Amino acid sequence: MAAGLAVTEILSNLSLGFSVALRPENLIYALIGVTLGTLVGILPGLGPLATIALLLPTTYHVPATGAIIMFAGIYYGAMYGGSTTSILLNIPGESASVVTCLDGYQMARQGRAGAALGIAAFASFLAGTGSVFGLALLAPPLARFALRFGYPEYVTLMCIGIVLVTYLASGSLLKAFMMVCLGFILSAVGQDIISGAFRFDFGLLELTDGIPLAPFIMGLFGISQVIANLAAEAEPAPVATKVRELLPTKEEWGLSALPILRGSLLGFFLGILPGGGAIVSSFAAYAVEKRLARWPERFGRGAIEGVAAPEAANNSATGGAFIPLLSFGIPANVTMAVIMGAFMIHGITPGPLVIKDRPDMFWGVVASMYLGNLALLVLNLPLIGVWVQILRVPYRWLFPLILLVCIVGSYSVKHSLFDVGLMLVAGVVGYAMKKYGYEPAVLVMAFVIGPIMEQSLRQSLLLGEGSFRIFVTRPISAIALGVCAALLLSAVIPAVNQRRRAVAGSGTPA
Amino acid sequence: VDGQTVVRADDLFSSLFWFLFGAFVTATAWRLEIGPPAAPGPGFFPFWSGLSLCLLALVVTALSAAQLRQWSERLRWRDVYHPRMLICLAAVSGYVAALKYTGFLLGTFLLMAILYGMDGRTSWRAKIVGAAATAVAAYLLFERALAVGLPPGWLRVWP
Repeated sequence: MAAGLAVTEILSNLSLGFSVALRPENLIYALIGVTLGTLVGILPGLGPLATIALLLPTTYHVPATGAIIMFAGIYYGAMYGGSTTSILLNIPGESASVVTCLDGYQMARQGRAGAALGIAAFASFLAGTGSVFGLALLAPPLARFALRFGYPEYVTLMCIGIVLVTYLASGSLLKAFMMVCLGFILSAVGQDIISGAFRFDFGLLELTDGIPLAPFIMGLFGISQVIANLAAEAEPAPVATKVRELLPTKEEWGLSALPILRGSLLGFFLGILPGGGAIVSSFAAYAVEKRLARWPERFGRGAIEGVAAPEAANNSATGGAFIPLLSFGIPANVTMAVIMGAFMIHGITPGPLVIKDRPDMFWGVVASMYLGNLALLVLNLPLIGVWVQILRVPYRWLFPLILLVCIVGSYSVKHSLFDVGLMLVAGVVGYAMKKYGYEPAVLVMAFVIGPIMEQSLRQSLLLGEGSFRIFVTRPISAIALGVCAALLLSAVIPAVNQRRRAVAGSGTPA
Repeated sequence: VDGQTVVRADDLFSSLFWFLFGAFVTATAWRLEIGPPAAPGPGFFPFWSGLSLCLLALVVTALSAAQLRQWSERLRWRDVYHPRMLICLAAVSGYVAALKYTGFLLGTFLLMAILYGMDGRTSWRAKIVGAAATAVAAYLLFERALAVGLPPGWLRVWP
């Protein structure tokens, strides 16, 4: 009875969503989103995160629902575009596409680039559609549960997000935590929302509202990537692969069907977990398929399952990653943190109240994801030749255009040349950070959630009359703190043991 | 010299920088009023963030100094710098500084001419035509189609 009611409720909500998503203007925003996402996502060196950062200002002149629909489209469009780059150039657009390179590029080298791109598109579509169904099913009950959360629960849940992102960051854990601190510090610039005091603005009028999100992120990811490519001796080589026969054969479908199903399920549930779900899920899906394969030695030499499973997993994870953002208001990964920034730019705080107060927006975005995934499949297979032509454009002609988009994008927010200057500074800093082994992604995550973290922390302390016990006396926050502690210990103990062994080893006479 | 030593020499410089930055933030936040835990002030969050940054930077500095065996192998200027990068940054900085006066069309044309000019494999005529086409296309897209409101400067081609 209850299940029947739930299904009826979902169907009724979905019909509301489709009535929003099928409005001509929203359909156009979804189409623009997936096309722009794919276009910039395929460009070497620009992954989904940089793509979204670059295109953040394009949504300023768009109504809030249209903007979020466009952003969701950019996100999964860019993920799709990333797989094209991985298959044709052996350059992962982002970490989640690394695994696709292993077999996708080998397939391209064997003249099967079309089949690899085709199965990647179908796997992305099937997994993406499935994960949107999971999102529609799970997000509303979780959001109702999240309505019981108070400030202390939010502080500790955000701590889990931060710890998981730093845990999964490449390089040193200590450096990752330093970037968390830096992100929190930078998020404090501007007027304090509680006391009204101005902080770290150095008398500059432009900083009283804080460091602008879009120019900052565009600088850290877009500009720094351009600088890195210019500093490299050799520019990225244009693609020379010929693409034909995009539709996979019956035999290839047979090999890929179960990997797509397994990858979709694995990706969705790993995607819900805070901290790089798409990356972990693509690796996990690849590992599972290799383990289950009758001939595991085919993997790494052009096995189509090695493309289908991780592509299904990372696209499914994108749907899963929307659940913590839309149900709890907590970004599951850095890309989601940037999308959260986009919500906030439009004056909407993502979280349980979005589903309750703006059902048209929530269900409109969910329905647009179904349509967007379909549009990706319908548009991208015929347009693959166009994308390949774009990949053939030499980088020396491409980077001036990327710079121009960044400049106009950051200028358009407030018509401020100060913001453009700040973007350039962020670009140089982002480049230096990469060179010195500091993770800009962790910094951005902390920067985006910093204001909510600060407000929740201060309100929690006010509630607890100055006692930190409030975080351990409430069950959800106590459990969340326990999870944080366990994660930290699991990261620190092996490092300490390794150091101890290294010290013991260096003390031993040769 | 192993890879670890190479990284650690750079870690020492960078962590010292972050230590000084954290110390500055901590001191500034202190002046902003931290407040008691029962009523945290505007300096509370940046103070603890700055202090944590200082402490973490100190740990990285100490670990780097303890493991450092050789100074010579570290990140060099030549590893991070290329003339193209400097030309590009200088051109974009100049463009931003002068945009209010040159206006979008002229400024973008000049910027694109410099950036395309860095390509040694194309003729100057093609570069100039490319720069002009890019500036006009960008103007039509951002100003006419998207109504971004770009600075017109002294050169007003269209009213």
